[in-house]
Amino acid sequence: MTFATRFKLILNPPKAAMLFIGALITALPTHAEECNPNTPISAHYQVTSRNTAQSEKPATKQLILWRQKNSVTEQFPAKGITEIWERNHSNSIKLNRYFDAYQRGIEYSPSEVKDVNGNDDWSMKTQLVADSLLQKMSLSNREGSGCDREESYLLAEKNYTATLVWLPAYRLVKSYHMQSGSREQVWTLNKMTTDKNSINHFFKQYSDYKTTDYADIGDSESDPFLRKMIRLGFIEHGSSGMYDTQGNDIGGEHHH
Amino acid sequence: MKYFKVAILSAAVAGLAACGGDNDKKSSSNNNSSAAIIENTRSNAWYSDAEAKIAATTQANLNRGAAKNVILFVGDGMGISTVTAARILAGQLKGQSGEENNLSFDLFPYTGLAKTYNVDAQTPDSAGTMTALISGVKTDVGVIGVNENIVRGDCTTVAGNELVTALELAEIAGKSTGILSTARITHATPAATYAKSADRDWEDDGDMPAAAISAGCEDIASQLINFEPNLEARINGVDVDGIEVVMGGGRRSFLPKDATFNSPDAVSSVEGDRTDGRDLTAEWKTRYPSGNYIFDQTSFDAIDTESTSKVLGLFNESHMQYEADRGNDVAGEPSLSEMTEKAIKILDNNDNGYFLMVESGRIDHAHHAGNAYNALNDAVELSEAVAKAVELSNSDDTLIIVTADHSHVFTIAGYPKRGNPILGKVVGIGSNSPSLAADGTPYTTLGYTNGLGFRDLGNETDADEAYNQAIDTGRKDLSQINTQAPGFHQEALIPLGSETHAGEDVGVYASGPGAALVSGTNEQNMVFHVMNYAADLVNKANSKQVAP
Repeated sequence: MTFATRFKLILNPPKAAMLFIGALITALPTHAEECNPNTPISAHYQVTSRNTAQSEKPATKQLILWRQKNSVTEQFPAKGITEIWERNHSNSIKLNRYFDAYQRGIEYSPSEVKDVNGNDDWSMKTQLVADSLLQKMSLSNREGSGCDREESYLLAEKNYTATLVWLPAYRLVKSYHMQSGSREQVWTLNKMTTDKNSINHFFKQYSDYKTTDYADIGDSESDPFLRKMIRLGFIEHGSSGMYDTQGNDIGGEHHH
Repeated sequence: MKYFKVAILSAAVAGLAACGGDNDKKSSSNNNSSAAIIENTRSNAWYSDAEAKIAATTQANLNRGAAKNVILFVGDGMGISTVTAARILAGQLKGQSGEENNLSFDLFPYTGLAKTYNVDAQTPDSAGTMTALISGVKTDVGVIGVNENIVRGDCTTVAGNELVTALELAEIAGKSTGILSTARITHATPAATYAKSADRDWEDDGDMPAAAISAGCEDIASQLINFEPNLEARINGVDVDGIEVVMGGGRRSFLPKDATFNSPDAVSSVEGDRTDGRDLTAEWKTRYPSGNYIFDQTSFDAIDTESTSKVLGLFNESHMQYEADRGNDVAGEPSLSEMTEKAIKILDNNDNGYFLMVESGRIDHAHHAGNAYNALNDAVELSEAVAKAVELSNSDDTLIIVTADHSHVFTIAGYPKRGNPILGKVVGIGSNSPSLAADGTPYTTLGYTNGLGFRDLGNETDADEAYNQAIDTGRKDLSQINTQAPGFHQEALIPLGSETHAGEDVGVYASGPGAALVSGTNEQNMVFHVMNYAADLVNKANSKQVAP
């Protein structure tokens, strides 16, 4: 699959709307030591997709990005699924997928997650946009300073365009708009916090959930949770990260 | 002070009692004295029936206690079809047609079949089957080292229902003992050699319900580290020195849930799962100051087998790697045959002999993932480990038994010609092109009745990668697919989230003193009794027991 085909959609919201979104973002810290790429963070995104060639209503989903040390979480509240990715000392990446309603999780060994093995993939997980994509984009505007500094980037290729408003102090997406043919998609940051207590609490609650290795599912048929999840197809990949409705990632340029 | 001997287990059998299909729950005592444990086992019909069968054997040249050493190899999930396919694969890897090849244990002089069902299940699991193999008593699915009177998951039903294992008897008898597994060392098969648990999943305290902990049950990892004091407390009047060699995966259950305890090759941000703050590796080192705790290939290679008294090797946070995937391990880890060699060279330093259990734990996992490539390659590695054991031991004084705990729904089918690649598509006699099914497409020799179904993952050597895709059962067009690649997963008929165990008999292969007892079709718990006869474990353990 080419890079272009993975960029499905861009909506271009009015500037006033963007200002409103900016106002929704909770007060950000101003001390330099509290606004760096390692700052624990919780960022709430709304993702809107639609096909402009059809009269369908835009589809909207919520995603909450949580970051702390070498862990990053992509939480999909509507699906009740939370994915925690961890990068260890050898730079391999491990996924735990939690099912919130059951307070249970499935652990994948690092070698089972071949699609996120490089630094570029890790940046896509932690930033939602891969470093390689950022490098391809052109800086078009820069405003503000310190923690509030914003940078705007553009990318225009044959079948798609993309615009990005970037918070460099946090290495975090403020807004991201893509268009490819008739498909449009918008990611907007609605709310953000760096409150360490709430972020610690979030990660702690998942670490207390009972987890099962993927390799052990076959020996766990008597487990009611696993039986039910097997029936529901919990093994299906596709809820993680910036994926389109076909399960193709749209946040970076790596290829499966 | 006057001492007197007390019988641990009576080898004498009062008479035959019907046990087949006996699913009645007998009343059990919660008295945790040694007498209760002894009585519990001796009066168990599974135990007494097997002993009676041994006693009735008229085989010539049988000599109770002739085996100084016993080695039990368990291929987890290694059913007959797996043995056959692995034999062919091993031969083809050597450039042969394959079918005429022999795995190391194919050449053992005695072979029999074992009925694998659990007391409460037609198709068994590893917990119940390994308990039968190692304790001589069949029990329920999912429980470890306890008899059928247990209620799975109910800690309060453990007391009084504990069984005595061959490893424990060997330990009491003064032999050196060892446990090896490529699975987590707290997983069902290895756990059944040393632990008593109402649930196979209680691998560490974090896995246990609060009620079980408050009721006094001990998690499986803790039982391994406390094996010596626990055994001495459970059976009065015995003095043991602990398991000499323990190697496998499963470090997570031995470390606190605290990143500061992470091993250098941890793959999780917090490697340990223990919520009680205990570092069991440190506790083990405190108990055995001269022992070696190792976690990678380098420290494994550095073990001097002639000067090492005890080894605890935990090479992975969870299971060790598939043999074909071992090169991808972060810190490196030994193969099953390397561990077997190291273990025997340590254990045979004891003039009283040794008992060693070796499990190839991931044959089962590869089958569950529907990946014959890894299942067969791990089975071939098990054959290598058996060959190493044969090389390093003397058949005059060492009983070696190779068996499986259960089978899988894995088939060798169609009419492939002689020498056809076992992982390939069926090519008929006289043909050079794949045979076509009624749907006009080729099909593989190997297949599964149920499971995840088809995957084409190319050179992927980790079978578990299959779980990352949706179930895809039924027929696929394999015309352009390399079905011999590591990442090919065979087609399956019935869609399930994981391929399942199967209920047919498994093979038992034996060599050495007492091996002649392996003959015909037997209940699976007979394997313990063969080992017991060959090494006279109960009587030798009895002779070591003293009471004030």
